[in-house]
Amino acid sequence: MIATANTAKPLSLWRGLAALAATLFLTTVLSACGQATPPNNNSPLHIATKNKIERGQYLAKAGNCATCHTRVGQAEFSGGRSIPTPFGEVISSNITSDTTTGLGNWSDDDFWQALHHGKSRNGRSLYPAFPYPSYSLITRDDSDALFAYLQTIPAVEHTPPAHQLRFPYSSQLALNIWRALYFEPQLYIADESQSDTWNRGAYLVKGLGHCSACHTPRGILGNSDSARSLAGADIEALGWHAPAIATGELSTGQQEELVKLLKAGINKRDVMSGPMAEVVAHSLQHLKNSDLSAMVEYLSTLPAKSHPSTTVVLKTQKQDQEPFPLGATLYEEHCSDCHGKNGLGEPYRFPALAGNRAVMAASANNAIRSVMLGGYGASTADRPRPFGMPAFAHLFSDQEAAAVINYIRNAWGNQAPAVRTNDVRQR
Amino acid sequence: MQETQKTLLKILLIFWLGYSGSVTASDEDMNLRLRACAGCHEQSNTANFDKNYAPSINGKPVEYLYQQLLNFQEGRRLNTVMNQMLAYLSPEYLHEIASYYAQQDPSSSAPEIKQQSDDQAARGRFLVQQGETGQPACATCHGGDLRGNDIAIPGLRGLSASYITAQLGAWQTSTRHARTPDCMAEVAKSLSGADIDAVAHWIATASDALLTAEAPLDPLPIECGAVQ
Repeated sequence: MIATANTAKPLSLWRGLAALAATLFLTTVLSACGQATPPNNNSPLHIATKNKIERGQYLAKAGNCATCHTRVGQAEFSGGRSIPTPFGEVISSNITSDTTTGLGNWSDDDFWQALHHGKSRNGRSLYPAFPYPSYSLITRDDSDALFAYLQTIPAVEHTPPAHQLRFPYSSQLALNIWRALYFEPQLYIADESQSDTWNRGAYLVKGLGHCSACHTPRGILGNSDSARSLAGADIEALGWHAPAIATGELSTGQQEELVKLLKAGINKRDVMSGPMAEVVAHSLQHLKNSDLSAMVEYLSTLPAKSHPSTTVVLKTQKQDQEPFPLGATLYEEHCSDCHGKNGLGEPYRFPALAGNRAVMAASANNAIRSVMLGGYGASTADRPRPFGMPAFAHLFSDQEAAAVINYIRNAWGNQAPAVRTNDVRQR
Repeated sequence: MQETQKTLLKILLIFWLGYSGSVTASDEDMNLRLRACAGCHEQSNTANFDKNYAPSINGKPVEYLYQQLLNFQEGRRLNTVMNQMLAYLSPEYLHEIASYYAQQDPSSSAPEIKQQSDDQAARGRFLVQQGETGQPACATCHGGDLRGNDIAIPGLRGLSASYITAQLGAWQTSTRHARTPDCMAEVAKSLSGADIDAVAHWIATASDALLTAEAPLDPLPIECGAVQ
């Protein structure tokens, strides 16, 4: 077998040996350092601070702070990422420890004022693209830990560009009227009738996780429609649909699969794509299984609410007639190799399309985007080398894309409203 | 040799053999993982391959490919499909993908059918092989045979005229970037529209007989951030 190995292999072996040697050396050196550590590093105060910062780091993952506060390719937390909203672009701020352009001169009270009250250090109201209607629920203790962690982020001097909002959305007056109508600072209140786990899940979903920012439909002024909390919503500015995550009761097995999906970005049947793949990559994969299970437990107690437009059904077809013959032919040629003739996919590789809620969602946005633009799921610790979906925008006409999407939305027992060629064109 | 040393070596040997034995299987596995790329880039997949739309990437230098994947991920190159495709992949996986394609046989695709006037072809050849003052010839970095080098400079043969034109245009308008100092941006910005057309068509249509054996210059005639 050695003879068949190509020339790179001996190198790999030496590299492996070198790594092993380096690890052994470092371990030795580090343990030696550990013994020489000055005693005051083990003082109760030092340990308390260290624990607080570590907790803050974990909470920052749960809140997915870095994703919005980092512009791709730039230093983490240095801001400048554009958050598209129906009212214009909100540009995220620099939250590194820089004293002039970041949070270096802030106190934990200032930070609490931003998180809990939605007001900046200078008293100006913040735009709720920074999801303080959710963050308001978190405890002061967690806020302080988050702040302690952010103060350890190396200072980066960077002033992000100004927001690009249309008038009147750009005015503080309009924002303050909005706040008077739709925002009231409030802490999370535990539901005593529920378990600690349920309450932990609710705290994470409603607070730091700010799931409702995407998954709850919004009113005309961008306010969350609390009557349809977590019932799924179109993210207009991104062109994706955030499906309903108020799942209704789930079996233990279903809950475990959902935890896997949140942790690894993929499970037996589903794969996270689009903006949710980003959430998995930067936030959810870093959370403890106990926290993910708690979130799933909470979500599974929320009654499933259907989006009003799911009640639209297709015109009745004759039983023996293939409703989407062009779609069926294209599926057979381009999709069935991976997703299977029966639409069941391959576990942990290619998602099942039969029975897939994202495929059948009232909004076909996700199906359209996935077919036209393709994409890989997130690299996670559990699944570092994902499988991907090719793009078909250069191969399918809008009409062909609509045909294949209609086929998968209505084959194998699936049922969903028909997509028109124009829906594809607009995406 | 001590008994413990022997045991250690045996363990290492087992791991090594296990690793090399799995090469074929992992190639097949990688092939499956990269179907999303093959949809556009694999030329044997004639149903899907669109020569004008997606360049051939087989056999390009691994570090060049890796830099391009990072450029797409970090927004220095803009393409709706590529930007979405790679957004959440780890650098380790991107490098593995780059290595996979670097090891594939480069295409021996026939040059495109000639669509150039003699004057335009002469101008294209001049810019590729001689260059203007202060404007290095393509061949000085990409080689007389236009096959690039093994480290970071891509081969240009097998690319379509429209793809080359689009890339030079993207550098001119700053929608394509490389690490600074961005040498290709400098070169592209010094070319006129007519010169871009001439160069792109000549590279895509010249027969092998017109190429030279000149090796890429070392060091390069201008500083390039991507070649460090």
